[in-house]
Amino acid sequence: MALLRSIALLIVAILGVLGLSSGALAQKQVVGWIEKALVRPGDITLDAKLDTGAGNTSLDARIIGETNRNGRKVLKFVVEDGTGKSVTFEREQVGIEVVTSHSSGDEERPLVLLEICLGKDCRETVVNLANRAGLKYPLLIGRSYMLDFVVVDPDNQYKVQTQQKGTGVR
Amino acid sequence: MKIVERLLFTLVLLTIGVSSAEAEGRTVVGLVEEVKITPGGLTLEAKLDTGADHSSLHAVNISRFRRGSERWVRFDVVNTEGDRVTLERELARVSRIKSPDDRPQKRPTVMLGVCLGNVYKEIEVNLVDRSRFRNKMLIGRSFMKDKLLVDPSKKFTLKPTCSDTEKQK
Repeated sequence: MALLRSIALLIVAILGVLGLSSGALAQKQVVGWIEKALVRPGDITLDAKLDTGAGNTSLDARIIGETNRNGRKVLKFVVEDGTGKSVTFEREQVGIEVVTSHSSGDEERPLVLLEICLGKDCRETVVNLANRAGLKYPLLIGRSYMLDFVVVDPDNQYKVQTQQKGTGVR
Repeated sequence: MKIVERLLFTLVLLTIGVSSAEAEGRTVVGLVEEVKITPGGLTLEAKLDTGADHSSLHAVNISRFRRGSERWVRFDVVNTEGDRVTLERELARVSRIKSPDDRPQKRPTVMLGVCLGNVYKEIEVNLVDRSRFRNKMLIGRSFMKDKLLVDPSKKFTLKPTCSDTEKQK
């Protein structure tokens, strides 16, 4: 009887350990609410705020032109990292996002696809281009990027080590 | 055999402890959770907003009055189910809320007790009309401090279960 109980406990223990290592939390990276994020293409590293209150991701960008390429609108925009480095992007516009706010009216922002890396993981995501000049962080990462991907630690900043340069992709 | 059994039992307890509490003893909660406010005892759907320093509550009929030399606020809180309480609280301060493209908003701020899971804290809550928004409360980082991590993929993972003794702390 005692042997049976021991075996049962052992099985529970093993399952528990397996569950822990393959569980949802183990797969999701725990990141601070402020992190260095690498944006690709362009390989620019930006301070990013991980904001669970925001649905989508928003990037501080200055749009300097738009062209037509095979009937599709391509936006040219400049992103600055706050230390003097700036990168010019040319990305196809994939849509428009209407942003609601408490006090002012609705605002329309163009959407582009960019790859954002946090720590060891990268993910392509839709980003709206905005004027975030009055705000502290040039990149605001919203839930559409975070879903099934990261868990946010609201007590810590710069918790993960993000690669500084792109590693081969594009 | 007894010793082996005891060791295994300890291992089981450890495993359960680690998996349910994450590394630093904090609880992983979802983007939206049910919270209970004190006084009033109203239950509200709250969104956990890691982008917000402080918390914010949907309130209507906000009026300020004096009680002796103190400044007070009277307001109604209404949850999604339509339950309503009228609360009177001393004004803690008037907070200025930043927004990317608006001028700063001024909002009356009061101290309220908030219970999420088994975490009870008295926190500063600013009052604002959130009629347009589904979640009647926003929980900011000052409430989450030392207690919570946020997994934005989840919702409604726990019920408010704070005991009266926790509230007295």
